Amino acid sequence: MGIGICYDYTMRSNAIRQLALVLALVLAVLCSTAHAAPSVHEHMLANGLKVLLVEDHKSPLAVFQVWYRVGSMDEGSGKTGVSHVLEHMMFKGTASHPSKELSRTVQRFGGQDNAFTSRDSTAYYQFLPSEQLALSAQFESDRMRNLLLAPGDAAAEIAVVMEERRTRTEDDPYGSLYEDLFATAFKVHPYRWPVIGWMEDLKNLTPQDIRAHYDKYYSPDNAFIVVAGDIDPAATLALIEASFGPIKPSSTNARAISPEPQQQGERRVELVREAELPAVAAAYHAPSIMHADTYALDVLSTVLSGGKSSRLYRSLVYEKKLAVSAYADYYSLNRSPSLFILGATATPGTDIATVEQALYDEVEAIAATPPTEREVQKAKNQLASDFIMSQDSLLARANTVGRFEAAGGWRLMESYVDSIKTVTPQDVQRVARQYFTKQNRTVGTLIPSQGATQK
Amino acid sequence: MNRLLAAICLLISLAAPALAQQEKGMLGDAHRFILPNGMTVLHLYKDSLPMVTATVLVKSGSTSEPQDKAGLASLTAGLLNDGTAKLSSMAFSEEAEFIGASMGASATYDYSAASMSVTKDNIERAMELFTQMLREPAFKDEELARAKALAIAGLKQSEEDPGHVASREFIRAVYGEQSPYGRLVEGSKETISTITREDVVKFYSTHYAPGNMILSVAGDLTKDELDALIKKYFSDWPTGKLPAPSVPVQAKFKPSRVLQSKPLAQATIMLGHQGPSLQSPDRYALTVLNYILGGGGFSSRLMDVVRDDKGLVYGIYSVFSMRLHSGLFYVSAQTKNESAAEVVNVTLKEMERLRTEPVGQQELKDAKDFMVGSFTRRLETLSSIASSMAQYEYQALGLDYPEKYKKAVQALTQEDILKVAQKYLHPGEYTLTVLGDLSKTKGLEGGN
Repeated sequence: MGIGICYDYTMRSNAIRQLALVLALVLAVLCSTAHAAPSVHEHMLANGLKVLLVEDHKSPLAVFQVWYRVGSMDEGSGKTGVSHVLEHMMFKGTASHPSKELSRTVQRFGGQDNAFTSRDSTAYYQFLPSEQLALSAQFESDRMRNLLLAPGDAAAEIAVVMEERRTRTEDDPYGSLYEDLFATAFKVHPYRWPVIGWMEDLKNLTPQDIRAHYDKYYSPDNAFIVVAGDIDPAATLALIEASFGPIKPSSTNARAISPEPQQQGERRVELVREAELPAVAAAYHAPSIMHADTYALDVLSTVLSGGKSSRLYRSLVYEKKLAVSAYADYYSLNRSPSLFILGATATPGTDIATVEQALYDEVEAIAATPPTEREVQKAKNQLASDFIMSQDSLLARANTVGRFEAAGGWRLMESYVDSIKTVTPQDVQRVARQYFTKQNRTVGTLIPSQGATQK
Repeated sequence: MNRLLAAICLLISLAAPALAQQEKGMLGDAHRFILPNGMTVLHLYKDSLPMVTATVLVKSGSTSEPQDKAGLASLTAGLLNDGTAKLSSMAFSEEAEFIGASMGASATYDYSAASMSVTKDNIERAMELFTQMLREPAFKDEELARAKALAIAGLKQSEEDPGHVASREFIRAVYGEQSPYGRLVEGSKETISTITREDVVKFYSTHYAPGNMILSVAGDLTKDELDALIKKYFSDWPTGKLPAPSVPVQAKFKPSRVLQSKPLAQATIMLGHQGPSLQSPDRYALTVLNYILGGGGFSSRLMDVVRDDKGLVYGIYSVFSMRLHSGLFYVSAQTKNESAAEVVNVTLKEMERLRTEPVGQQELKDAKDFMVGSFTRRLETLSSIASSMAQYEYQALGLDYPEKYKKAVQALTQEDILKVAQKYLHPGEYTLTVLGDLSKTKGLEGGN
C-alpha cells in the first residue's frame, strides 16, 4: 500500500533494469493504419509553442506534459548534469507558487506529477482528472519563465542529485558499466557523458550555471506540449493559448552539436569493481528514427531479444546455459544517432569472453543467413501487439508522442507500423551485416573484483 | 495569484469531481460468479482497446511451503510456462509470442498469480495456451534443473543490489527464519537445491485447484464470449480437494540491529517492525497515516524533512505491507554513509511526532483527498482492473470496495490517525538494518 516513489529520474536508454519500460515505449509506436485520421491534433501558437493533443475518453483522466528540447547533449564540458539539476529545481517554486504547491495541489485531486531528463529532452508532467487541466496550464506556464532558482535551494537539490547518482551509478555495477560504455563509444558527440552528470561537475555546479541554462533553453519556441486523455481539443487548446500565449519567444537556444565521426576500430573498456557476476555489453553505432534502416533494426532487435523464444535467450540462456540474461537494446528515438547494444550476464563460473563470443555468433548467424519468414512475422506481431497494449496507459501514450516529437516529429509515429510491415528477412540480414562490424563496436566488460563474492 | 485565492479556487473545483461515475460504482458493471468446480470468476467488459487481460490468482504462496523447501511456490509458478503436456518450453513460448501475447506467473508470500494479455483477435488461441500452462504443466526434470540454476544465479546477482540485501536481512531480523515471512519468496541457494520434481508436482496438485482459484478478466470480451471460453477451457477442470489453509509460524518480534559493511557509496537503511495483517479493521486509517508519514510522495513528512530540507536522500518512503497472517512496517532510504545516523534519527523523530501530536487538519484533508481521488488512476489500465478485482475477491472486500474505501477514508478524523499511530508505530522498539560502509557511518550502534 501507499504510492510508490519514483521521483525525477534520469531517463537512461541504457539501464538494463529499465529495459522493459524502454521497450514498451519504443514499441509503443505502431499506428493502426495509414488511412486512419491522425491520432494527434497539432497546433502552433504564435510564440512558437507546438501543441499536440490526443483524445482518449476511456476514463476521466488526462496527462499534461511540457517537453523542452534540451537534454544533457546540450550541456558543456564541466557543466554536465545541469539539465537534470534544473529539472529538480523546477519543483522549487516561483514568486506566485511556492515550492511543493504544484505537487500538493495535484495530489489533492488524486493526481501525480513528476519529470524526467534524457540526453535529448527534459519533460514535466501531471496525471490528473481531466477537468483539472487548468491547474497544469497555470503552473507550467508560470514556471516556464518565472522560476525562483534560489541559491540555497540549489545547494540542497544538488546534494539530492548526488544521492541519486550514488544509487544509480556508484553503487550499481550496470549503471557504472553503461557510463563507461557511452564515454568510450562516443569521443566527440556529447552522448559521451551521463545524463545525471559527472560527480565532480555536480560539485562545481553553481546557481549561475543553472540560471544560464534556464534562461537559454526554457522558452515556448524551444518547447512543446502534449496532452492525452479525456479532453475536448478545442477547449484544451484555448486553455493553453490563454496561459502560454503571452509568453515571449526567445531566440537564444541555437546550438551546434558536433557529430560523432565514424569509428575506426574496436574499442574496449573494462570495469573491475564490486559485483557478483561478470557481464558484457557490446555497443554498435546505429542510426536514429530519422534513418530508414531504423525499422529493420527494430525488427532485428525483436528477433534477437523479444521474449523467451528469441535468439539470444534461446541460445545463451536456454541452450548453452552461458548467461542468466541476454538482451538487445536498440532505442531509435534520439536526436542524434546512438547505440545498438547487445548484452549478457554470465552464469556463475562462465568465462565472460565465451559469453561475448556467443553474442557475436548470434548476430553473425543472421548476417550469414536471413531469419525465417515466421521469425520476422513473429517480431512484427509482437511490435504491433505491444503498441496496442501500451495504449492502455495514458502516460505511455503521451510519452510516445513526446519522444517521437523530440526525436524527429510525431508524424513518424503515424507511419511507423507501415514501415515495420515492409521489413523483409533480407533487410534484417542486411542491417546485421552493415552495422555489426568489429570496427563499429565498443565493448564494455564488468569484472567482479576479488572478494566481491565473500559475504 | 495569491495563496488564499488559489485555495478558494481549489475548494470550488473540489466540489464537482467524479460524482457522475460514482453513482454506479467504479466496478459497477463487473460480474462475479462461481463455476460448479468452485472457481470464482470476475469479469469487466471494457472496449476502450481491442485487448483482453486475464489473471488467475491461486490462494497459496510461499507460506504454504515447508521451510526446508523455501522457493517451491516460486519455482512452481515459474515453471508453468516452461512446457506443457502438448508443447515443449520453447514451442510454448514461440506460439505465445507469435500471437504477441504475454504470459507468465509468479508467487508471493500468500498467493500465486498467472497473468495473460493479448489483443482481442488472438484471444481464443491465447486462452487455449493460458489454460494449457495452468492445467497441464509438464514440469520436466530438465526444465526444473534449468529453473533452479537460474533462480540460484539470480539470487547471487541480487547480492549486487543493496536494496535486496538490506530487505532480506531486515525481514529475517523482524520475523526470524522460522516464519515464511522472514524468508525470501525465492528461497535460498540451499533450499532451492533440495527441491525435486516430486515436490513441485505435489505443490501444484495440492494448490492449483479450481476451488482455490480466482479468474479475473478485463477488456474487450463480452460476458457471452467469456462464457464460451470458460465452457471450453475451464468447466471440465475437476474440482479437486481444497488445500488446508496455511498457518505460518508467528514469530515474536524482538528489536535488533543488523549492521553490515560493504564498500558502498551509500548506506541502505531499513527501519521498522511487525505490523497489522490484512484482517485489521484499521487498514483505512493506516493508509492515511502512511501517506502522511512517508507514502505520500513529495507531500510526505519524511520527504519534506529528509529530502527537501536537508538534502540527505533522493527518496525516502514508508510502507505498511499487510499480509494474510501478519504485516510489516518499514521506512526505507539510501543516503551517503556519513549521514546514515541522521536519517535514522529524523525518521524516529517523525514516527514519534505522529504518536504525540494530531496531524494537521489540512494535512489530513489532503491525504484523504488523495486516497479517494487517486482511485480512478489506480484502476486506469485493464491489467490494473483485472488484478485489483482479483485482490478484492481474495481479500473478501467485494467489488464495491472502491466505494467502501472512499466512504471509510472520508470518515477518518485526526483522533483516528493519532490512535493508529500510537498502536502501530513503535519508535522505541524497532529493527534497524543498515548496509553500507560502516567505517564511515557513525552513531548507529546505540541501543534501542
